[in-house]
Amino acid sequence: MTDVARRPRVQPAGRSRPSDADLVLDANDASLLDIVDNVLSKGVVLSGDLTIALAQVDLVYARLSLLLCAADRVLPNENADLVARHHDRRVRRARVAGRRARG
Amino acid sequence: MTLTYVYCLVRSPRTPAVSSAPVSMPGAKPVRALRAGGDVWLIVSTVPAAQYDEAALATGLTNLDWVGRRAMTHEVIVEHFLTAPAVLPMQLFTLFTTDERALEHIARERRRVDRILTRLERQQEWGLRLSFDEKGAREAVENAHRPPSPKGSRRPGRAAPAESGAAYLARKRDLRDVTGAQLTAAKRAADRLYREMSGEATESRRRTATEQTTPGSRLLLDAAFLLPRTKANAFRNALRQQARKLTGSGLVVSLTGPWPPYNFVDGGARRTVRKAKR
Repeated sequence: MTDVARRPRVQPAGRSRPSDADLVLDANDASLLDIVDNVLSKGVVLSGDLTIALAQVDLVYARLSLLLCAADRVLPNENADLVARHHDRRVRRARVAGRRARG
Repeated sequence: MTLTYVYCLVRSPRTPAVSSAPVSMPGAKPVRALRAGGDVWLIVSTVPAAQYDEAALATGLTNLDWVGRRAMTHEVIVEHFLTAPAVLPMQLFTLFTTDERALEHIARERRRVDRILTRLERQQEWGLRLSFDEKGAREAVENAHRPPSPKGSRRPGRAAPAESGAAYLARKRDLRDVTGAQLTAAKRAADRLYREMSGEATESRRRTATEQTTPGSRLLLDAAFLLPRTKANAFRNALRQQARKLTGSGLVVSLTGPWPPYNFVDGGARRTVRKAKR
């Protein structure tokens, strides 16, 4: 694995670092690690023909948990643009949902 | 040879909009919807076995960049179908040897799947975290103890006035209190916040495993809430009110979502315990 910890932190533009008792309600800063955490470790509905060996999931997940708990979260650089696009999509969807709710 | 990769299950009276779906998994064919009988659809892609068999996954899972790219693609595709009446997200790398095998599997589990889909209909998941900004709290104490220095009074090359013994001890005591009393109060606040917000949701889950993974972790609350799509604004407003009470306590509240209902797919029946190793 590459050294994730030393890579720069990616943050959506226009959002400053949260300060004391700061309420972050933008809901747009879902990090890649949150996503990996969700898709990899949550409830299983169907177990496919190829079930990932539990030990391997544990391996990925253990490392992930450490990163998730780190004070300053970092993202692998390679995926930064994917995260940015995901962020844009979310913003668009929220806007459409808002229009629907009003209209 | 190819495999069938399953992203999610969708309940929808119409064929789900696959043509507008985002780009599928690396190496995969475009996203398709497989009808699993009635109004239930499987959202799938055909993937090359060489890139997604056990050996490939074993290698890939050791590389966070590799996992990250696929996790993100999986997430983006599941989210594309969030406008459907109900979506059941699959775990990353849910793979079947053929479409038929996947459909057979659903047919066998159909009653359980229907039950979960009904429970999740028009519901969304929101993630709430509360963390204690210890560094911030320490800095606040240090600042409070710093002797007031009028502007321009400090000349270059001149040392700061020596701290008296009593002041030193007072500063140390207050710093210790930051990690002691303040943290205890913060933990109580986290419990309270979870209780209050649970009252606003259909269901709620607290993930104590991640809260406690790292010793000395300052993540005090990691919770997921399931709520009707129509109640998202009410939930945010309620949270805003709760958060106002926490002002000045060194606590940071963050809300993310809406998410596919990852934390609520188990239906209370079969729970897969996959906790991180300590």
